[in-house]
Amino acid sequence: MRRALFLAALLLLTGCEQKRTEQAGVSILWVQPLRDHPVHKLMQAGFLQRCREAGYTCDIVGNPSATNFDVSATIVLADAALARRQYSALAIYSPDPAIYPYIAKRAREGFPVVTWHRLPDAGEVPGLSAAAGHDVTQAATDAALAMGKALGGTGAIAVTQGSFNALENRMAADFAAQVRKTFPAITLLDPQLEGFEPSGAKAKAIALLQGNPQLTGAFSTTGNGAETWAGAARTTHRDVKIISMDYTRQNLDLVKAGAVYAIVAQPLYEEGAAVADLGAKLARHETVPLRNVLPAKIVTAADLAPYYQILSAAGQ
Amino acid sequence: MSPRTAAARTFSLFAVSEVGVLCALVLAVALFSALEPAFLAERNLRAILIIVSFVGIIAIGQIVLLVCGEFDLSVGSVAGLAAVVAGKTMTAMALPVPVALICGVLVGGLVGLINGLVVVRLHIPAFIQTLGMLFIGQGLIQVVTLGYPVYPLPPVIGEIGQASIFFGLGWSFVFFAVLALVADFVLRRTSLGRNCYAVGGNVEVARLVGIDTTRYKIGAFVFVGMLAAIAGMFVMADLASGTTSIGNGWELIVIASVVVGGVSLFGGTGSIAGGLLGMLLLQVVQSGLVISGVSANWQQIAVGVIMVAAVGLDVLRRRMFVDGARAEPAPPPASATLGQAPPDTSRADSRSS
Repeated sequence: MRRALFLAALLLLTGCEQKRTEQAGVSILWVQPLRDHPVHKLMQAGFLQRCREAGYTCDIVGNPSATNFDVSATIVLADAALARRQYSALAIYSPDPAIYPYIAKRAREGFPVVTWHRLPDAGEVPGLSAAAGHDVTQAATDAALAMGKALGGTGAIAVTQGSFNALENRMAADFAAQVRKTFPAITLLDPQLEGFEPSGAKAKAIALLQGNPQLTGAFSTTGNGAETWAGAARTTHRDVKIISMDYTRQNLDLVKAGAVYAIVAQPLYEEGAAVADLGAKLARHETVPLRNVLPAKIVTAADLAPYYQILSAAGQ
Repeated sequence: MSPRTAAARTFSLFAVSEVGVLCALVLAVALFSALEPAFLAERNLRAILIIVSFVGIIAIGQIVLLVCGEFDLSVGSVAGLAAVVAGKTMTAMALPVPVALICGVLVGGLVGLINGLVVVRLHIPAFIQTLGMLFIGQGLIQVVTLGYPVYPLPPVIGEIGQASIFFGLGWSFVFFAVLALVADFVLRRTSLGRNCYAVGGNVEVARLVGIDTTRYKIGAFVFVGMLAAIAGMFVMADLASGTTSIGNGWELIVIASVVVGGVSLFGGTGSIAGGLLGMLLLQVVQSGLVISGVSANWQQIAVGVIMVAAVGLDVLRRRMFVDGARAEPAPPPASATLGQAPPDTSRADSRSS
């Protein structure tokens, strides 16, 4: 009996040790252009936190900028990291199709590749094994419904984008489609480029407000949009219902203060954590679904508390 | 007044470098207000002036530096760096707000000093040195902030940013307006300003007549660095946040604007009024295109075309009126007519900006 118990304990310990060794053997390289953008930092915080918890070895590379989305510079840095260390999975950010050939190339070399923030259709990104993110169409639809309801089904809405990329274009198009479908009395302006430099973005928003006296709503597909439109509305003394992306602390404060109506809480931190787990599973040759949908709530002043908690947990 | 004299006076009027950009500005305002009357609304004009005040503060420094024969491509990242350093100083280090703001200005001055010393003493071209400093500044912003905006800031910063001093305009515009008047006076009416034109016009001749050209150039670099820092901190106050993208891309906006306003990239030519009119013209065009409902895809193309056209028209004006005025037997000098042309306008106007 004693011998059997000893053997069982030994087997258990060996199993645990083996599992720990497997976990410790997981190493994931996170590749993300525009590495230092605050929103990207939030994604990275979720990834690194999950890596720490699970004992994975994780590194982050990307062009060190908060304003310049440089795919080619990022690829060079990723290649350098791969030359230094063996990784068992790659996490590659792919809002720009320019990085698709790199994903295909690394997949051909045998790396499982995970992406996040948007969910490509099967075959859209050759070589991609899995993706974690919110359903852009669903988030845009929810934002459109929330905006239309807040405006009472009338008025006019401006749409602005940080840049014209695949993700933001789709968000803007899906938002517009839903508004046209559900609230035909609402006028929609064509999407405008607000850019990432704050004073220039605000100037453009002010010009939109001045040129369109009927404007009562603003939808921005970028995280800076809350600050941009809140500042423009304040400067022009206009009452505008604003919906923007991302639960950064400043955006949450703007919602709390009533300067912004709502935030589309893209699951930034959660995506990072999901990527770590997907990468680890793929490294262990487990099967995972291609599209791993995470919820993206429309957050108004009534339900901010959980997002402040996430930011605090991420050290922000 | 004889018809001959009237024609000569008209010629002299168009020989003044600011007239070209002023005409373009009037045309742009007329066009956009005809397309969309809301363009001339008080709030829109106020918004344009507020935006111009941020970049205009840097433009004043850049004009002085260009007049001295150099330019600075690092102003945007210096603005961002000073803003986040001031923000961190008043939050992470918990120093009093005035001390933090002074730290921000000193950061700008220090970067300007380094630029000046390297360009003047080590003879590294300003293009290379300040381009390098642009990257260094961007890197330092990330080092200071770790990529996160400096937020929240003490409430007084937001109060400074939202203050309304007159006509709904805040401290940034007051600072910009006073600075523009002082800088214009100094450049046109004092020996300090005239020496700047001399240094930028021909550095060897300036040295031979006893001007300390090294001190003038380094001083101009420090001046533009400090002004970039102040502009960055005004944007920080307006946003109530030390956002890491403050100042991004300003370097080219500033240089393009002042060149449109007749300030030469080769030194020795230009005025505060011209440079600021050029800046106002570009902002009016950008704002007007949005207000008029021009598609976002065409706006940047239109801005680029207008920028080239403005400089092209100015070149044409110089050929027709400045050279034409010189060919006239006895036209009254522009300075005598208007009493405000820079001392070497006629000489420098023969250059291309």
